[in-house]
Amino acid sequence: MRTEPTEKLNPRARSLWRIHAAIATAIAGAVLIVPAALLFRGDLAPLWPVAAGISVTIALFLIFVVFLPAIRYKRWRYRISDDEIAIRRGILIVTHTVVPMIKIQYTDTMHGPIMRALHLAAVRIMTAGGTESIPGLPPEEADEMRDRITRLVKTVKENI
Amino acid sequence: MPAPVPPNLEEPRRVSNAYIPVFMLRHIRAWIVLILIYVLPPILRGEAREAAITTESGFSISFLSLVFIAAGGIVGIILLFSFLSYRRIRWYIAGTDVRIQKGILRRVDKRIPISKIQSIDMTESLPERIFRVATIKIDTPGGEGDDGKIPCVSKQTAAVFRDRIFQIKHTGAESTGGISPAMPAMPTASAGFAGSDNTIYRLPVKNLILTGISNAKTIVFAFIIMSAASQFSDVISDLFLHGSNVYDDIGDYIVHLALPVIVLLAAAFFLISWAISVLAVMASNYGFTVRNAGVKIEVEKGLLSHKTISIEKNRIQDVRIRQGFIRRLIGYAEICVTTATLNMKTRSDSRNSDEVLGITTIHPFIPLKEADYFLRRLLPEFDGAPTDFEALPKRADFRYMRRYFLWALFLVILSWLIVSLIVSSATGAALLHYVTGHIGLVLAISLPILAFFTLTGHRAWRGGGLCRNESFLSLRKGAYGREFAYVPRRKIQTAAHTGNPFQRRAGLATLGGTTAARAFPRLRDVERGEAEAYLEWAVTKIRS
Repeated sequence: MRTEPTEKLNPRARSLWRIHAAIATAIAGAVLIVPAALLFRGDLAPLWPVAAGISVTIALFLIFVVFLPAIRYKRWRYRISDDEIAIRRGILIVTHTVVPMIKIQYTDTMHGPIMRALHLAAVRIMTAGGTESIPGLPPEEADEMRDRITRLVKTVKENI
Repeated sequence: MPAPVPPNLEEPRRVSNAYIPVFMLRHIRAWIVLILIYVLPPILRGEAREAAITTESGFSISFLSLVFIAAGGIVGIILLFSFLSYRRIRWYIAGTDVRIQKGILRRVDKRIPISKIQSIDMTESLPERIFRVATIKIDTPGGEGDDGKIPCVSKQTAAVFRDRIFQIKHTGAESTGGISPAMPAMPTASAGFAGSDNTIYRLPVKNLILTGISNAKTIVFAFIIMSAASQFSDVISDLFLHGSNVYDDIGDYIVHLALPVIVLLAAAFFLISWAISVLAVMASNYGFTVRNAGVKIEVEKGLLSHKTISIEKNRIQDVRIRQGFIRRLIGYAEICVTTATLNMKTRSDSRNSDEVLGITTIHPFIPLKEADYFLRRLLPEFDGAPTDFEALPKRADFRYMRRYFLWALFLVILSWLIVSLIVSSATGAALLHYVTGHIGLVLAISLPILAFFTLTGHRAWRGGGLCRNESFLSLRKGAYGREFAYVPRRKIQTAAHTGNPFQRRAGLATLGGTTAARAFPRLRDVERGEAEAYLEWAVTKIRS
């Protein structure tokens, strides 16, 4: 058995996922509730579509904003060793991914407005087969990690 | 053919003036389909002659003349655009770059460094074949898309252009002392188009027919025919059923027919779909030729639209050998290679799903036992992929059967719901009543379907398998057919295994990963330990 990755993300990553999920839930809630509320005309149209919309929205909120980010955070692990980056993530379906250091083409750090507000950044790792990313790290740590990966990649490529 | 004066490629050139008719034919084709669908039915129905639009001032115009005016306008606009865009196109070799300028509104001025060019393909669509010109398609590691295409170049010029490019590329590489190991194998530049002696396979007519028969995508064509027919349903009803609604009439009609007649009708329908799809596969594989051009493989094929595809060997990410059900019975297979295509833009113009995934067939019909020999000759770097497949664990058998069974159950319940909704009224009680009232019929139809899917699950489990050695991962999949994928370790970019809660409890995992051509086939329910070992294997350095 391989050893499982051990490093955790910054706890603020939970807030980041929660904000993303809250925005999506708000949009979904609006789509569900607003038309029903507009159609509501006292006794002409029933009230139950509005009630159903609200309860579905609350359920979505509980699932996607309250519970899932916590589980996702608990599960999310990574490890950067000399010749690979290993990532374990997923809520129901758990994915283990390894990226051989030698396959990494370049890395960068990225942060959007919400991430900036939370003082977070993501490290993105590009290979010819696609992009992996480690979200939810403090910017200094992300920069340091990016430089470290770049150094490791360089060392590995020189040794070949 | 008289020896032509070699074209001067160093100065801005226009494309052949056949561009204008080719452009028009290509664009009018789409409109013809629209006209067939929307204008033909009323004309056939005879409504068109009387139909007229009258304005308030008393001006009246008949439907038919409106159609003709609109058609004339469209043709005029297309002619104008074809002429304008013809005038804008310039292409030439500018020192170490290929320069392409084109576009009416969105103007493109593209310089492609010759050293970066990976392949130059030539395709001829049907209109281009009529005018004996071809489209040159230049590709680089980053992907060039439509901007990297030079349309309507005479074939001789295209061949000269390609020779020149590879000549420049070759000498350029030598002077910098760069990628020399691959260079001794560099083909004589004219290899591709001239049809020289490095042909290693040409599909004979007998095998072309067998390819068509064993590769036919009947279902797809059945849908195309059905959707086309539905557009003309009112015409058909006018002609044959004197104006009443065709669906009602067909419904009545079918109800009064004996079962054998319905079965015969359905069989005839599928036979026609099948025949058309066989012809389509045959047309696209007509004259299939594979050439071994040193660092490249060249594939040429097609009757109506002719394609020359060149694949750089070191861009090949994995090799797949595929057998459909029929091919498996007769022991034949198809060999495909997957190439890295980074830019989604280059994929946008192709409708074929294999093309979208970057999969190219390099042999459409080969006896399975000869596939190894063929591969060794064409792609020696793929020699040595292990084939001693290890079966999936016994406890995965049940999981495979259950997965297929649950899917089938879902589909069966859904279809019975739809059927009972149609037959009975839409209340819940009536639905239940319908199903319980016909329980014998429901079971007689559903049970064999469920049994078949469960059996399919079992066969998919039997078909699954994997093995590894120092440098390859080999995967085997398929329930009734087979797909073998050989993935070199050095091409694997990321390796992954995933597991849902049930799999985790059973100690199983789904194995997957990516190459530069994106994901290779995933294999479900391998031993967890095997999946872990695979991750370890993927990251361990290959010692050379």
